[in-house]
Amino acid sequence: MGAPFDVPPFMAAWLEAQQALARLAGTVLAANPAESAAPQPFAEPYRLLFALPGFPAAGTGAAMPEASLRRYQLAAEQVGKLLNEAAADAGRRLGAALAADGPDAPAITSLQQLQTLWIDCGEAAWSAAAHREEFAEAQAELLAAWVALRAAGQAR
Amino acid sequence: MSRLALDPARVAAEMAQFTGRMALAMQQLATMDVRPEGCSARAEVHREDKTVLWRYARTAPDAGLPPLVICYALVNRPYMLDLQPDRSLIRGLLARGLDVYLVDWGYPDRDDSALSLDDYVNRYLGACIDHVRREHGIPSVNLLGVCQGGTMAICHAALHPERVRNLVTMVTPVDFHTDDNLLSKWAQKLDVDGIVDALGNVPGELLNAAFVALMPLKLTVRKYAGLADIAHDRGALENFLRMERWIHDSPDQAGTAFRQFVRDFFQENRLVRGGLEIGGRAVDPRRINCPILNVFAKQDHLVPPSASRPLGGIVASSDYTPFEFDGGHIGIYVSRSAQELLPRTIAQWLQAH
Repeated sequence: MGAPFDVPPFMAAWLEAQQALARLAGTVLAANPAESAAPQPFAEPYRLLFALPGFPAAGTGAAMPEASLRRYQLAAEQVGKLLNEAAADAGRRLGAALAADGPDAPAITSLQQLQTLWIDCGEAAWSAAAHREEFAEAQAELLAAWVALRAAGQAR
Repeated sequence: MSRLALDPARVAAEMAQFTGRMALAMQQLATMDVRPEGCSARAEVHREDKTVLWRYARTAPDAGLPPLVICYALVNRPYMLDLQPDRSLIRGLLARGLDVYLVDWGYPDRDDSALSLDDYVNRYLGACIDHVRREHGIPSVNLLGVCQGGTMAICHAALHPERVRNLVTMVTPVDFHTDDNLLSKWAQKLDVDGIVDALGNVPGELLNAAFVALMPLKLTVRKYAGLADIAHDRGALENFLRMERWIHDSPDQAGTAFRQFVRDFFQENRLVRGGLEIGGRAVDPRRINCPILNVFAKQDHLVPPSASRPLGGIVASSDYTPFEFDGGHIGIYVSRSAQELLPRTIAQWLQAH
């Protein structure tokens, strides 16, 4: 008997979920959206989650051709920039949602309600970013650079 | 004015309760075993290389219909269709007296990197259908394709229309260039030659990562945090674990077939635009004139309805029935509402044809 797949990655995912919730609670409690004109603090809990899937290590840096490494670094930098923009957008959306009032914006009295809003805002920002051609190109280039890096490492 | 009315003491209590429930859920999950692939009795009736044709044991009086051959996708494993007794499209079909066969592509390895769409669509699927035709002494079968398997079934029906009596497609991409198809937008930019040339086969983990990235917060944080809500429900935890296991059970993709599928379908949209060839033969959907039932899911984030709906416009069939299911790409198999609705819809439609 036992779990049918490796527990550690599964545990890691769960821990990530729990830590994200704790970070969210800490951030929101520390920053009062009613008083915050530019709710940048809300971007932080998104930045830690908006990350492309981690690719397996392609080899040690010392063994890699400089051109391939450079290409990979540039590609990662470009994707990182777009992810940061998405996180900032998500933070803005969350800040605006928290500051909203009226019948469509009931009071948030529990962490679970806050988490739901946080995820909805995050997904909306992610979707807006991910549908852009620039994002698809950057992501494809990152994958291509990783593949080239891996191939170069194997060739050595 | 802010909507935020959080009381720090209450938040602390909620966090403590959440942590306790998550710990309990993890303890429970660690004792569970959901390894069996599928839950219905079946027997292997044909095998070629890694492709296996399963025949399911009948559970109800014969409805008198030609056998139904299910062609699953190359991505993920087909036991999603028979996940557990109360979530099984296959059981639902068996209960309505259908004779059900399932094509299982197995797990391609390095020896399979040269397998092409010709191998899958013509050779393996063709051999499975021929086996059923021979066993039953019939000229044609009912063919049901699922997701990418539906696209392959369409191709097979276009290449061999005499073998397919009725065609059922489920959450099947047809037009790969619709605006709301995020996966396709990403795939269109891929350097697929570079990827396949370097990797040989494409790791299943890579595809899984791409699927999760379509909705990264819902498919990670929301899903895992949701465990707290079911920590005391062993049955629900087992359901969760079965689903997790299926999601992470991703076969690698044979490099040559992957290259062809990405290039011809995602990038060049040849099924709709024309010019598709498999095994050196033109795949012309206008050669399909059998009755078609096209089932798609309203909230499908992987294959949006806009990608499935165009099927009716590219085939010659005058008997075409679209059916929109109110759910998502996975819910169409495992949601409670699907269990009765989908098998009934498919069986009744087949009965009428």
